[in-house]
Amino acid sequence: MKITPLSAVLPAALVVSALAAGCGGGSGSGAGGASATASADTTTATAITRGGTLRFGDTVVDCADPHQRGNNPSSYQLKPVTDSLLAQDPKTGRFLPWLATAYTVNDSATKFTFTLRQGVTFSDGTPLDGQAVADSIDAIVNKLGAAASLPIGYLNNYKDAKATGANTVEVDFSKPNIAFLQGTATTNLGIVSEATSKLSAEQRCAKGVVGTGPFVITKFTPAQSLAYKRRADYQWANPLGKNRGPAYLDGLQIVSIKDTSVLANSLLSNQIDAYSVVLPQDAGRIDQSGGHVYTTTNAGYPVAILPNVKGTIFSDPAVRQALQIGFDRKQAISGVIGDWFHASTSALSSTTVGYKDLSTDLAADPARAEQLLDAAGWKKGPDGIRVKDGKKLKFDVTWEIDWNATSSVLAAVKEQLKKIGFELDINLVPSGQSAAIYKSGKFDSRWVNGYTPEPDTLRAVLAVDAGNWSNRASKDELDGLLQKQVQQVDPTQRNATLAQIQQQLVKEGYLIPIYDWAQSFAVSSKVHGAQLLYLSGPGPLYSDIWLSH
Amino acid sequence: MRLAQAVLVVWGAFTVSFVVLYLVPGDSVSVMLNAGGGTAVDPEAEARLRADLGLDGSFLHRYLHDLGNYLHFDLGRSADLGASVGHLIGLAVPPTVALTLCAMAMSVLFGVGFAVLVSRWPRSPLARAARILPAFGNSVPTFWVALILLQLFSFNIRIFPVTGQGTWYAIVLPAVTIAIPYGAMIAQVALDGIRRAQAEMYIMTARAKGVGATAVHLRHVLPSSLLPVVSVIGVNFGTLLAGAVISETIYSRQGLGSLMQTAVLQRDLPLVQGTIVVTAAMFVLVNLVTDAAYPLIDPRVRRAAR
Amino acid sequence: MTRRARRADRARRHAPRPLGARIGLGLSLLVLAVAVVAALFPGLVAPHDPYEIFQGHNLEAPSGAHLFGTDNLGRDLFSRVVHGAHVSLVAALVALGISFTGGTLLGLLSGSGGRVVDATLMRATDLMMSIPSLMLSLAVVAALGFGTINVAIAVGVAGIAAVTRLMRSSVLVVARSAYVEAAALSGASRTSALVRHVLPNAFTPVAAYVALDFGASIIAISSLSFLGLGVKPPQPEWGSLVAEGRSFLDTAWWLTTLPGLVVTAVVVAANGVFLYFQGATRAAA
Repeated sequence: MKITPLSAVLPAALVVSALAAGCGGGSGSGAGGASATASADTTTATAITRGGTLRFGDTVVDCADPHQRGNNPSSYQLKPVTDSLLAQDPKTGRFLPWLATAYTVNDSATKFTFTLRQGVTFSDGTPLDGQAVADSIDAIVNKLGAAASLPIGYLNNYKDAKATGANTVEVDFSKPNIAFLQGTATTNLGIVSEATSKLSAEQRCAKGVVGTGPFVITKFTPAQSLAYKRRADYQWANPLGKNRGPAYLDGLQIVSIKDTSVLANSLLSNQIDAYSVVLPQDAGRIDQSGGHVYTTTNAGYPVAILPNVKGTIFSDPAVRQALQIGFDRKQAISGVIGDWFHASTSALSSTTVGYKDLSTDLAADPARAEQLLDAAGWKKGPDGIRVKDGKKLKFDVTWEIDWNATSSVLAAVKEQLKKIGFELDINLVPSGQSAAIYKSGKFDSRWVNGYTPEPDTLRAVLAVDAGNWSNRASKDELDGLLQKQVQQVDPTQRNATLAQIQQQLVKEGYLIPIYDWAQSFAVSSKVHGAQLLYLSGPGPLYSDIWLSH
Repeated sequence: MRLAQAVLVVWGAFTVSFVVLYLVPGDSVSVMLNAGGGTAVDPEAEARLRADLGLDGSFLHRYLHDLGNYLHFDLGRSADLGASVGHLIGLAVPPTVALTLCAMAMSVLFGVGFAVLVSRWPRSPLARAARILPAFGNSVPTFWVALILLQLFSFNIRIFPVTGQGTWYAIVLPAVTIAIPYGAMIAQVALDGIRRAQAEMYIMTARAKGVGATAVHLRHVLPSSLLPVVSVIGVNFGTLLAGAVISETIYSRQGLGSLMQTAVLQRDLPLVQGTIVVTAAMFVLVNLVTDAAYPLIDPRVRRAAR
Repeated sequence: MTRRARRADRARRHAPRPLGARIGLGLSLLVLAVAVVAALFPGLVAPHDPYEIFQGHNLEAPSGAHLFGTDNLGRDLFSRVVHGAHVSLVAALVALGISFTGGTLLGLLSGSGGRVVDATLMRATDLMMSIPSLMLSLAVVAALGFGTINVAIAVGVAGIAAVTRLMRSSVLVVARSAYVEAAALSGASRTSALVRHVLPNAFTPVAAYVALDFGASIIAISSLSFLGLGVKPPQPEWGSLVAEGRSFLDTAWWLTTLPGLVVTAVVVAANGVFLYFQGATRAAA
């Protein structure tokens, strides 16, 4: 067993500090206006005032369980109530102690132990102990199951979790799963009380969960209203937070606004104090009014087109490769979405631990793309779209309607692809329908986005014996690499494997990344202290936020 | 007799919506399992869930099963939100009722008022021009009007809040939006009724007797213009409810309209069905009320009924 | 009816309408004509391709180069509105076709089919009319799926009940009139009496309703598209153009306002035609 004191993960620090130099993300790249991070928050000069309720505008979640809802911006609404075992420093990738003061991982990444911090209590008064943590994790697999679709991705091959002492807990896997470690630093695996762990999925949705977090739910009506008040006895804040004690805010209120296009005006007319998912045309206005738009690139795999290689034009690698370099990513997104979204430079976003810069391989080269297509037998037809053996070079991109991404980027890509002879069809389907379509295999490609910061999602999605979203027929070198990375405990080794994986994906065109997804968090001039932590899942550190009057 | 007809209509709404939605390819289960994001799909869990919800029976079996439930006021569970459909609708009905009643009041007030004014001075140039206005009330798309009103009166001139609920005046903009087409129709009907009444003998008699024009207008013309309005209010209640879908969505109000819209977007079939049946029931109720009110207002009908 | 009486009757029915009404009709027909031409030959009316992206010209206000300005991708809004006319108006015509074919058949059946048939169909239409048309359309879209064709079908189906009612009452009025009795007496079959006498005469009020329903269909289809149930992006359609422009009201007002104005203008024109015919019907009454 390799003991890993939290203060000395040097190799990782070296690798990731190089990342920090290159990546544009961080907790405050302003958009539109010229404000830099520092200007919005001169806490040293202004005295922090306690009190007040932060009004966050959004469609209220239909389910108050952070284990069952983790998408952006739902996670903004559910973050306040739980804490995680560890926290991950976005600048270095190091794991920092939070609810767990120490952790160990065995060499085969099948056994994880955590030593818990003393004195932590859930909001119902029960203590945070080994049993509670074990139950919390176990419930995800054995009680929630498929309903906890995000956290369960971290618990692949889960065997059991048990308390090995009053304050220690051990989680075992039947096969290596290093991804679990990063999972424990996300809200998706936030720790809930024993009482909550006993409830069914519906009950947890309807009532919410009991956690150790800085806030407690006071009112929840699904899809209608959600309100929190702070816990006065909170003393175990996120290590990355500046406030070590209870939250400065008295409470939080989710103001039900279903129409996202009015969020900006609601902020500007002081009807809400904050919201997420800022539109590019509003960023300038918000900055000018004295407010601020916090942005950060999310970790995970980028917003991408994922080709179905079975029975479609994408079964030909030349077509995939031509698509990969056939259009200019920067041009496709410029002016269409906010300038805090950056064109992808790899199969993982630039802030992901393990990211490898492949911008040269993704540089637009339509001339070369056309050569590839010509050589593969695709000749331009009378309408400009290429044809081969009577079949058009046409493909659809399918996704579900309630996903938080715009189709405008695809419209721009479509126009560019027309020039080299591709025809792209946008196929937006109602909720619940995409699963059936993907299962039937009757689609050309999917429009996807990494849903957690962990690079293991690439394996979950692409490995032949896992999701196999691209419908590859048999395992090959890529699968070997995908399997290997989840077993590697040493970050340097793992990053090397991840680098190889990204290279393969880009070269083979199994993933056509377009842009790195970024969070945005807009606040009015009254709100201070916010920071976005993209490695823990979307949402700010609420205990740091304070309101001026 | 009327009541029996009403029940028949509601039953019909249930059947029609059941049949229509039965034809849908995907079903609630896939919606439920996709609600959280992520990738995990467990075929066993799916089958189990489907059996639990009773979605694996034959058409007739499911129809009778659902009908039985409805008769016990169990409208099923929302596929997407997990809560009981009855509960969700129960929460949605009061705001929609408030909205439609408010809009109805505005429409009647302004529609009838407009008609009375225009017909009092029929030869004035303003009246002549104004007389064609009601016809255009139906021409403006509700969604466009709602956006313009929201922009002007909530963001530019900050009178009303952006979310159409919470305070009492938050209902104004949403109500005005849907009152426009409805009010236009009422104005037209009222104008029509007034014109007919003005031609009646008893009006000329009153004028001949020397009663002032305005008094005649108000005491004799007005009541008779209200009759066609009352009969039309019920039948066209659907316009208000349809407008509510758009209005509630744009003004972020809770209600049957926005519930229906979310349900359709999420393909939440039990919820769609429940909303249709409840809407039909509301419509039927409003018509029963107006049918009962008619004889109370029109003495002629009352006398005939005796 | 004597020949003289019939001639007088026809003369009264076809008396010239007042000047104001005729100007109104003229304007309305003009607007509709432009809309129809734009719908049928969008390529002729629109200066640009509706999907063409003018790089670097995002969100430009209306100008000489771009009559209605450009959208957030840099596409010419005027061209998109013109091509949107094609989608919206064709869909409205499809919806109208469905409403009228279905409604006419059912109305004829109901009005002339005997008491039981009539009663059943009347209850059925009562039922359909008790569900607001937009909600009924939403339900149909929930069943069929998104897309303009489905939206058109949904709106068409929702409109059948009203036409049935209208047709039925016209049929009832005419069926009892003199010519049909005369035809029946002279030995003509019921069907031929229906087709040769009832149908043509029942049609006048129905024709007026066509104009009204055309406008209503346009609004219904745009509303459903606005709610996100209609065209697939990036295809333009009036309702979805207004929806796309929604978040730009403060920063690019033309994106929502101008398409909305166009919809209003066309529907006003359709209603203007309806008013004219309604006036004509009233004069003949």
